[in-house]
Amino acid sequence: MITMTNTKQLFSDTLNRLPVSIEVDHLKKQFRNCVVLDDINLRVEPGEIFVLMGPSGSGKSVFLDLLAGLSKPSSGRLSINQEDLQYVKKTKKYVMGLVFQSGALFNSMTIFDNLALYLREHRLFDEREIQSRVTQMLDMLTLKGIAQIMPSELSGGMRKRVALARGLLMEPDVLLFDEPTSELDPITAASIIELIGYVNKQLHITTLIVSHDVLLAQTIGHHIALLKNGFIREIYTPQALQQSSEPFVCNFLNPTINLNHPRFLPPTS
Amino acid sequence: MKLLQLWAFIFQLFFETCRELRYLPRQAGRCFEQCCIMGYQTLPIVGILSLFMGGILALQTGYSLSKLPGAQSFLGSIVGLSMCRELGPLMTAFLLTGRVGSAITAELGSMSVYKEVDALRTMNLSPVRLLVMPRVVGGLFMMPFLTIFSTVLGWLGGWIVTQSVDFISINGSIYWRSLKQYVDVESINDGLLKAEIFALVITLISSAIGLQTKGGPREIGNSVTRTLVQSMIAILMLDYFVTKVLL
Repeated sequence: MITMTNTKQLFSDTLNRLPVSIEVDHLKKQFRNCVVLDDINLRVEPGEIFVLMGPSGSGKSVFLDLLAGLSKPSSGRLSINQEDLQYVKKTKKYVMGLVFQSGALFNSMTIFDNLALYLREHRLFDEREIQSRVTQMLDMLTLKGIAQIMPSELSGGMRKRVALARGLLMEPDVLLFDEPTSELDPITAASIIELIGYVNKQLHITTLIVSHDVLLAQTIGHHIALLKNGFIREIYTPQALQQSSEPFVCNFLNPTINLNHPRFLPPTS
Repeated sequence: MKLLQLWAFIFQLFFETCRELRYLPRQAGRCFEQCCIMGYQTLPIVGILSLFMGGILALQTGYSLSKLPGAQSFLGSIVGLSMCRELGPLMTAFLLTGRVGSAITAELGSMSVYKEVDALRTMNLSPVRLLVMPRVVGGLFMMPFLTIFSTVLGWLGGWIVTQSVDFISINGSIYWRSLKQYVDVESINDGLLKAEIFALVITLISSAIGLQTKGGPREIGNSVTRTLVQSMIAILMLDYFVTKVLL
């Protein structure tokens, strides 16, 4: 599906850098009296794919917002390569690419302008080089011919690929994904999983994915954490997760369907 | 409490916009685009309304002055001063709020709701530099032109009425002579100063409310309504104080 013919040229900066690690220590986030994340501790090893799973409303997206620097933790510490995230954001030392659930493409701009925005605004290259990089990136992700169309004309899968392209063009140290396979059919979802796995294999960018897609976690995740009620109990490898006998994990991976007693209805006497 | 938070954010946005002005040359394209949008959206409606506003003013005043012999010769000065000192800037500000302010809030609100603003932040790009500053600069640049256009069309509307209504017994030359006699550069400058203050307030309020929008499409609608209400209240209150200082 993707061709990495020009990877070395396009990602020269990324390939020349060492992958970074992410450390989370005693992280807590609360909104007024509601504790959303409580005492989160984890470490994402350099170059690995870490998947944070959990039921809807468990605080996964809040965690991603904290890591992306979009909100501040109530307490605890987030760091990259042992350097505090606030310092990292201020000095712009590390680049973080966040691929949003909806893609978050700029609807008033063409796909080309969406992809070129970061490079143009930070004045990283001249206009000819930007043109060349964006075109190469679109070719690489088999998105040829869409440069001049608007994001509203794209399908869900294409939007996610364009969002990934935008993230990759930043040559990030950390790639963050928010539900990359949500709202997609199984085949398109599989192609996105392949793409993330392939990019990680080629570029060794430290990747953190927030998702409740079990297939994604087990196929490309190096480590998987399960978030329940704002708390991480354990961090698993894909094999350990599969073999876990913990009721919450078993129920999350293979939920039982009981049509006679739906779980959100009060038990009948 | 919410209102205080909003105004605190508006002041914060004002200072951030001032800080981002050093990037103005690099954002010139975006500023020019905003000028075009504002001019294109507002110019026709400003023209129509101002023409009728001047006409109505001449009609009402002309009728009242017709009872006082010779008083109608002041009609030109009344329409002239009212339009350039008060009605021109005020009407243009109201129309800018309705046409441009609401569009700014809707656009920035939708960008906030659909995470486009967050996407800018994760790219280390300042939403104020890319979204707010060009709109403020566009508003400040276009408002004087719109106000002058409104004022001149208001005068023209008054003149048309003097030529076409029976109970106003002055000819065109008296109307224009009276207007020229009382409308001086200072009056026009006072009107333009007001217009610039209004433009700053409208663009900042609409941008602030747009960026604070959270939720879904319904909240975007609510934000647009909030922009209209807040801007109009602010314009009228400021108008009173600025007029008091200038008189």
